[in-house]
Amino acid sequence: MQQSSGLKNEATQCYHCGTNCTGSIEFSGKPFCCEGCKTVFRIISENGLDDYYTLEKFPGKSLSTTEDDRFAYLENEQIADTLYEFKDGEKAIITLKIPDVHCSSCVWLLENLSAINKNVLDCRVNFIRKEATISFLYKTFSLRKLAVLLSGIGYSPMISASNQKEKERKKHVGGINIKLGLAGFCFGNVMLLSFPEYFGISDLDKSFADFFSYLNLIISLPVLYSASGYFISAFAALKQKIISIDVPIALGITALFLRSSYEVLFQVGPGFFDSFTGLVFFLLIGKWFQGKTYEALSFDRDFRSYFPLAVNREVNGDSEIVPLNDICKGDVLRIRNQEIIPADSKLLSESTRINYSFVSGEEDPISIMKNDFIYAGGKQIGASILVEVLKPVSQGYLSRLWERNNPQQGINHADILNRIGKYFTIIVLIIATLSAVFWSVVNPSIVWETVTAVLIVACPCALALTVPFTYGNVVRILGRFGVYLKNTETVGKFFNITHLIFDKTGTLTLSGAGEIAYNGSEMSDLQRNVLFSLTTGSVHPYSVKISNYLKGAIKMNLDSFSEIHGKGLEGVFNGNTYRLGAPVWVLGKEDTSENASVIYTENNNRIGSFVFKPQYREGLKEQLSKIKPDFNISVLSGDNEKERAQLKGIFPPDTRILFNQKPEDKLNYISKLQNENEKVLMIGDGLNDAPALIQSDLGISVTDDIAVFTPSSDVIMDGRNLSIFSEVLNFIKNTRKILISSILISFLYNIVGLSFAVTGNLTPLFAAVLMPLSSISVVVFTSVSVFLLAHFRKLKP
Amino acid sequence: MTVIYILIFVSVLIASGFLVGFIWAVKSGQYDDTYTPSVRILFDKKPNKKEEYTKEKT
Repeated sequence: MQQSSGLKNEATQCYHCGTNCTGSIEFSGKPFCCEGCKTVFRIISENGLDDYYTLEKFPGKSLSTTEDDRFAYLENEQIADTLYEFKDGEKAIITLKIPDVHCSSCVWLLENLSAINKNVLDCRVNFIRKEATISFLYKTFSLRKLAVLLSGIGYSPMISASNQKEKERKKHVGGINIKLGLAGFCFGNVMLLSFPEYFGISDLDKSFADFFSYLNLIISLPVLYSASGYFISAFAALKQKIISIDVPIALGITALFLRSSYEVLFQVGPGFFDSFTGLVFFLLIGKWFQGKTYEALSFDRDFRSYFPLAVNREVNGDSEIVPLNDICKGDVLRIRNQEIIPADSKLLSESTRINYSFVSGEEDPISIMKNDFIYAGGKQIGASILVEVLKPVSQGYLSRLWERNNPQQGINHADILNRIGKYFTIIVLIIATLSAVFWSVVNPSIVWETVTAVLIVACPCALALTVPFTYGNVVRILGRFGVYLKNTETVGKFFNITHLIFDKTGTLTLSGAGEIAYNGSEMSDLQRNVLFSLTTGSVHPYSVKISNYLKGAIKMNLDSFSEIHGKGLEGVFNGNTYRLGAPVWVLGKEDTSENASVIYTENNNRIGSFVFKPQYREGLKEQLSKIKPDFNISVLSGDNEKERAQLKGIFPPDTRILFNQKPEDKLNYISKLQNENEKVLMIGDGLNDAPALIQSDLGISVTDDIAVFTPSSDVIMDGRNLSIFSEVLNFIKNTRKILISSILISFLYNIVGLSFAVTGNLTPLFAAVLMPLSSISVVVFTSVSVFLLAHFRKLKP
Repeated sequence: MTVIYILIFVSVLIASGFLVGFIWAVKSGQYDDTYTPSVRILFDKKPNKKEEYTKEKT
């Protein structure tokens, strides 16, 4: 690559990805920022797909280096087979997650993939899910080649163990749509056929009335299928000896249907089929509204998603690809640059550096010597190494930490509706019994009528709609501010939180970015260029940062260059020795004068030093002072104490700040608080916080790019929106008042209905008016008030 | 007035037709992805230029 220093034309933008560049790389008259972008352009234009660039401006993404080796494990048929959705003699279909899909050009290019390679038969993109379903000829064009082809044009697929799980999940959607459509159809028709009844049918038309009633009965039958979910869930709850909100609903639906069928079949009345179908229809609308989820995001990743699907095993000098689960103790694995070490193991190569940021949160790589222990989850940096597995994947440190706190499934006891449902059912049954006793004395002929009327009118339809619509609206509003809740139940978890815990790296600070400051004498051009030549030869994060800082310097050929692990860099130029590295190594003693991270010397004379400061997110201090009155706050950092002063300045005075916290320490800290009856909200990022996020009562994972991996949590939050965090908390806390008000409204309707039912005055027309009225008023009330609240809390996009 | 039996029979029949159509639409996956088709419809179907393409000079 030609270095064109001095040429500083800021206006030039890469034709492919839009990055500002010098314009030194050119192809067919168009400027590119790097060879990667140029290659992608060439592939695209050679295949006649130039339209890619006309649909959107700068549609591409800058390529990070693509290595074919990354997908080598896909050659293994055993692994590939677990990923396919369908496979026959020559064709296979696979759905791949492609996080880089971001605009209509992406859709266009991917769907024209068959123009680039004839072995690809078809490609369909689901933009919302960021997925492509591709059918291709796997005999002539392996899955590996497909993955390489996709990476080659800038759409690297994300393949992990969760892909295999996704496949099973894909079925069983659409059920609610059919049930809802069916209920709506029946509701509409029954309503229409009930109109003559409402307006009073004359005795002359008695045969019509019977005809309509029988027709209603027949049309209502499919609604039993629509309501089946409520029967199943109520039955499951009773089996566990719990009374959930679904129990009175199922009771009401059953009473409605039986009473109506009896009335029609024995020709004593028209029945309540309009109320029955309407009730189920409204309940299902609530369910459908609640079911909204963020499909592109995944909230349930476990640590395996971070690991490769397969690794290279060395057996007698030969290398073979094996699935991760087949690794045994004593196996020798080859780990390449940037690969994750999948199992706890021992280093066989001389030395290396491991980045444990996934595990500990500490970003600086750690030097490892031969025979040292390496934890699973570390990322290899540098040339490929050999390691010997000490424990199978499932017994590693991370796996055990993970399995310690598997979240329990089942009916949510804390759910506010289910708590109410219990008392509600008991009260309704008492009222029904009392009215039965009363009428059996006064007028035994209407006992059965009043009892069923009580059960019908008490059916908590409006009540059951309060939560889906209140929470559902909250989820939708928060989604506009980059706060994505896993499901509507998550909203309820916010209410009881008493303690907030923040992770530092990546959560409070911007990951990757950071300030770099140079202290010392002005560097001469020569010193600058030598330093640049030193740092470009190293992949250490500090070196990369310094290289970026020295933009414009020229790389020279040094007479000698060496990188000493854990210490620094040394180079000789024109007989002078230059060193850059840790103070202890460069100066031979601790540096106490300043907080220098690395020192640069020429022939042991200090030239200057660099200090790296993490960059904190904006508006943190202000946000924290707003939050402070309502919560206790702690900070748990995996890093060392060098940032203590900085953190103290940002956080309120009585914040507990703890350093050197391993994932296990974080988890224990949270369980300790929980034993003291605190409800803990954990805000973190990365795999090192994952156990803590699960253990906490509510886990929020913060990320700067929601397309990338986030650990499993209840909420995924765009890091930039941490600046409105206090507003978000405040907003959610206040929705509780809305929820309680709407519950009271629905109770009011129940009381009115019950007063008619116990006196034996419930007519079908009255029920048919009351039921929709109560449901609609609850829906309107919650929706309007949640939106007004968001408006007044200044939550504006 | 007995014509009303026929009318209602016909109306329920037609409505059922739409219901079946709806169920078919759900089952065939038309509600699985409600966004991408709105992007896809804007693409022009152009003849493949690959054959006419002559390799450009670097």
